[in-house]
Amino acid sequence: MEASNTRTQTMDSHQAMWMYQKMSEIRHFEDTVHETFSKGVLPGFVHLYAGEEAVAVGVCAHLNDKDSITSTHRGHGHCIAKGCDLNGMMAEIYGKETGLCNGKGGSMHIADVSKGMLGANGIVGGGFPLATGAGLTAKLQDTGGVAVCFFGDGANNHGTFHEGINMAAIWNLPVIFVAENNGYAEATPFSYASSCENIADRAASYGIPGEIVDGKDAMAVYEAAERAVTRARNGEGPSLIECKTYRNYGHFEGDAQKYKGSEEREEHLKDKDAILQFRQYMLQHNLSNEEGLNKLDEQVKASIQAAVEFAESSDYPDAGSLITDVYVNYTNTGRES
Amino acid sequence: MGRTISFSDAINEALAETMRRDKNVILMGEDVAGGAAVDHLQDEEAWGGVMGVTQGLVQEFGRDRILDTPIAEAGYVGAAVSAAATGMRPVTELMFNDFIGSCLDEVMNQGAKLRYMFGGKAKVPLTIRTMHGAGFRAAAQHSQSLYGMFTAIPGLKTVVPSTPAEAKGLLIAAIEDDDLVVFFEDKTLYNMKGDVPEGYYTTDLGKADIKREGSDVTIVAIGKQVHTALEAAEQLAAKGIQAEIVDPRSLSPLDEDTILASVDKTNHLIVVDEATPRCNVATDIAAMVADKGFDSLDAPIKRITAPHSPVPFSPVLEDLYLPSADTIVRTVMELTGEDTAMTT
Amino acid sequence: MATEIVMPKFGMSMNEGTIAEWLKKEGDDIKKGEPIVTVSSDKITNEVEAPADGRMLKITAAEDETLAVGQVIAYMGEPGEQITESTAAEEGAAPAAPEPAEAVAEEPAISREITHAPQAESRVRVSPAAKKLAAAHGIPVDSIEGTGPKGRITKKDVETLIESAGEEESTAPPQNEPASANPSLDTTQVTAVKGMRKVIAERMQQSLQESAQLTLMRKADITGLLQIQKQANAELEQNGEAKTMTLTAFIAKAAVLALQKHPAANASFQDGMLYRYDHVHLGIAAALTEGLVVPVIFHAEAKSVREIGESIRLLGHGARENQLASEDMQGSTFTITNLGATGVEYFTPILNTPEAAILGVGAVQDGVQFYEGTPMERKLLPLSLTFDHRALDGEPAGRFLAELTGILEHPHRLFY
Repeated sequence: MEASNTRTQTMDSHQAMWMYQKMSEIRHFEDTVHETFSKGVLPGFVHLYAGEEAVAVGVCAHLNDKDSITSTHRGHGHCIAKGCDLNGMMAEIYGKETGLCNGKGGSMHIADVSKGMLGANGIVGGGFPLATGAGLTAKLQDTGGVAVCFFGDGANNHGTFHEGINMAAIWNLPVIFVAENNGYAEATPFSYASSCENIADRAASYGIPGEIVDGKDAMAVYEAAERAVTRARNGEGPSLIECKTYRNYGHFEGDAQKYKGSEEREEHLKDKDAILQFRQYMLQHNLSNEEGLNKLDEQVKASIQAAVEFAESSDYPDAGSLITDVYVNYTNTGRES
Repeated sequence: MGRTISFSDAINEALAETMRRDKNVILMGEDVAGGAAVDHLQDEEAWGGVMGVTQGLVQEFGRDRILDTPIAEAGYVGAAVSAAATGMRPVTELMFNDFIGSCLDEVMNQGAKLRYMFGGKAKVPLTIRTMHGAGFRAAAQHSQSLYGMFTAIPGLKTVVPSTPAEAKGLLIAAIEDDDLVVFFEDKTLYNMKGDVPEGYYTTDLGKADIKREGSDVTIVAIGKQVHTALEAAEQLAAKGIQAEIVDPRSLSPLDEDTILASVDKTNHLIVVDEATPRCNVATDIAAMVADKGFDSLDAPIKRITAPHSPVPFSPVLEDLYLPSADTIVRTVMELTGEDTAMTT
Repeated sequence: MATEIVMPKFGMSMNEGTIAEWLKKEGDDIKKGEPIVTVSSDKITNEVEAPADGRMLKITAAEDETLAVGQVIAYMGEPGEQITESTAAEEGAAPAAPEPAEAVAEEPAISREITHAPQAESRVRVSPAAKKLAAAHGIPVDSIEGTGPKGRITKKDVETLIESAGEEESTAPPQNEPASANPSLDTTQVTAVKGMRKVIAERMQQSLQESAQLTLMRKADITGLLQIQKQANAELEQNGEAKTMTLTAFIAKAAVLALQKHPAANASFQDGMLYRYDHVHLGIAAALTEGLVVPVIFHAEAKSVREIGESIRLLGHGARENQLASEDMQGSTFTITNLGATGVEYFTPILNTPEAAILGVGAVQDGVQFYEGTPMERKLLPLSLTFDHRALDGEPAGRFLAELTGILEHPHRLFY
């Protein structure tokens, strides 16, 4: 099973299978974390990406390891789509030393810089300037790479949205700002918290293209991302893509989600489900068959199960690592006077 | 009459008490009501803050006074500063104190300075409630204790309560104070239960509380660390050492007199602060006592703090990160020379 | 080559001096002639001036440290200039009393940076609270055994020592605890005792500890004497001369005459030996802003009232201007201290040891005395004589005081 990030321009079976695999990985990973968390096994907060798979995968299908992405507190999907190791991710969420960040970061800070994954982020709006900076590096070092900033609808009201996008625009940087508008910033509807109808509408004020796509439709995201990434690679500057999507779980695990309407939930979990839609697309376009996709799903489930076992059997970090990776080991238990 | 309620409910009561007494008191923050403009949502189903601390307030006071904000800390904290300066008495919730990174200007350069810069002709009766503290497995950006950073800023007050009853009294006093007060709530204390008087009362800012009397060593502890220190005191008592636990409760203003008097009695000082050690409150208190209480000291002042590192995620590391009762006991034994075998 | 600043000699009898206060610190740039340090010896404090322009490179003698005359106390020179090993070696070999050499060894700055021989181990570890308590009870910290971590002397160690001392002597030690337990509530100004204050403190305490002092008091009727004094000064003024015929001058002259008749009071008790003098070197206590000095009128027995008055005036001026040498303040055989200007009547002066007696003069009082049944308004002078009971007893001391009173009440005896 090929999991390379190298893509061809047109959607072929190989590409489609990769996308399906990644979406399936995200879904099963998140469903597993949801289950494990509810058993009280996992420490801390987790924010799950299930339901939004088409966005991360549709965009990352155009990226390679030279390209950078910034993420959010809801970052597992971005990690998987960008090629992060499932075992390392799961171990990180468990706080084990085999985790991608040696257990120091956890769910909200999973990162793999070697894959161009600049980290999930605990600070809403933290990614805009970071993506702009990564775009600056790509431009100044002429790497041919691009930077993608995934952000939620909550972040679009944060001051860094304006500062980051404006700078990317004036410097004509290869950055793609991808809004994941899942309708709710925590428990607050997008319509309440934002003065505009669409996040994409705001692109006009920076003089950059702003496109709205159905974020549940992997192909629509894929095509919009292709346009934006091509623009960026050609030196034509930043773009904004707003993906209208939905999260299947709450803001965090434990959220009763009373603010969501029951009909809309039902709709998104069934007919509008991103994986279901993409599966149908693949079958319709003969990119795979039922048997092939079912087999792939089973393989994915097995790999996620393996990741859990890997995480559970891994050791916790050594106590000494508490004060490594920090520039100064200051202790206050100094010399006896 | 007191009854046993949680730290979280005590804060909720403080907000309700002040809002009933003064219509200019409003609460603003991210999802402090929750589910704004969602037609089908019943008020009792609304979040009431990410930890549910403000649950139920929207039913009594409505969405005009329990105001959900966009995730825009610079915007709503700044707006709260100005609302305060122009006649309101807002309480704003900065969900995690770590998020101060998004709105430090509004707190440090605006809110804290207006009264002084304007020659005393303005006041900023704003209270910023914010969560702090490690131990929740919330990792580096949601676990810090940044009260030291705020205490370093002239023009604002800082309060760190350790018990439900004091949380209520101190929060009411903070809201009624005409200066900007940053009120730190340890997220790991929200479920702690304690006797809390009903109705309205205040606990003075700038007055420390002696949580336990003792003659041999003074332990000044901040916030949750008061409980760690009390646990250590029990262990020490079994060894015949009587620790006096001083809870400053507000760090700015700081009750220097109570600390100095205690050190003068015990001649030994340990400060327990879970914040990182450089330029923190433990260091500040240690310097104050070295300066003003030098002759009271029979041993070096010891600070027990987190290491100088960000808060780690992994539970095993985070447990090591926080001060522990064992560390306090060991430090006391070393200081008093009661157990030289442990001095290595 | 750095210039050595050495402990200077301010008087012929000065063998050693104590650093009172450094007025400059290391790294300061100094002009020639600027005062750089004050040094005290015996009862006098003097400033040492910079011998040349330059930078203070190193201070090798700490405040309160006592060094022999000629020992290096600091180095001055060009910025960045090295102080050579040979210089340090010379310093170590400097001919000096053994005591200062020891003091040098205790100065860590020297051992670290000049001789490279760490001496930190000699430091006494003592907690601030212990140090304070020990000082309040006059207990030297190096006499206390430390039981704290790393041998630190703790407050408990001092308390234990005080308790055991109390048991041995069956007298409770004085409780010199501060009135307030909380230092932050008071506005007490605390300064280190140094310079002249320190010398006075040590000498006064030593005086009381080492001698057996007793004070006798009586008054003298000086109504007549005051009239003579008034006339004498009026005459001096008429001739355009200074009015030096002060009451102190008359009292001093009377004391000199009485001492010659009662040499038991013109004596000293030293190292178990009793010295009696024919000459009278009269010490006159002079109050200064920063303390007290006692300049000496040598061979006062050879001086008239007026000459004594003139000497008092000159010495007082010299004391106030800090122009006296230490030998101007040594060798007195008897001292007069006058608190009359403050309104005090009787008091108990402390002996200017090793002298056997000191006369305290109070303020003149208006009083009534009966002369052959007739009450008359008189001027009465309170006199307080402290003497060392080791050197003489109450009866001879009383007779000396009676003699003195007699002369003052019959001022013509001043001229016999």
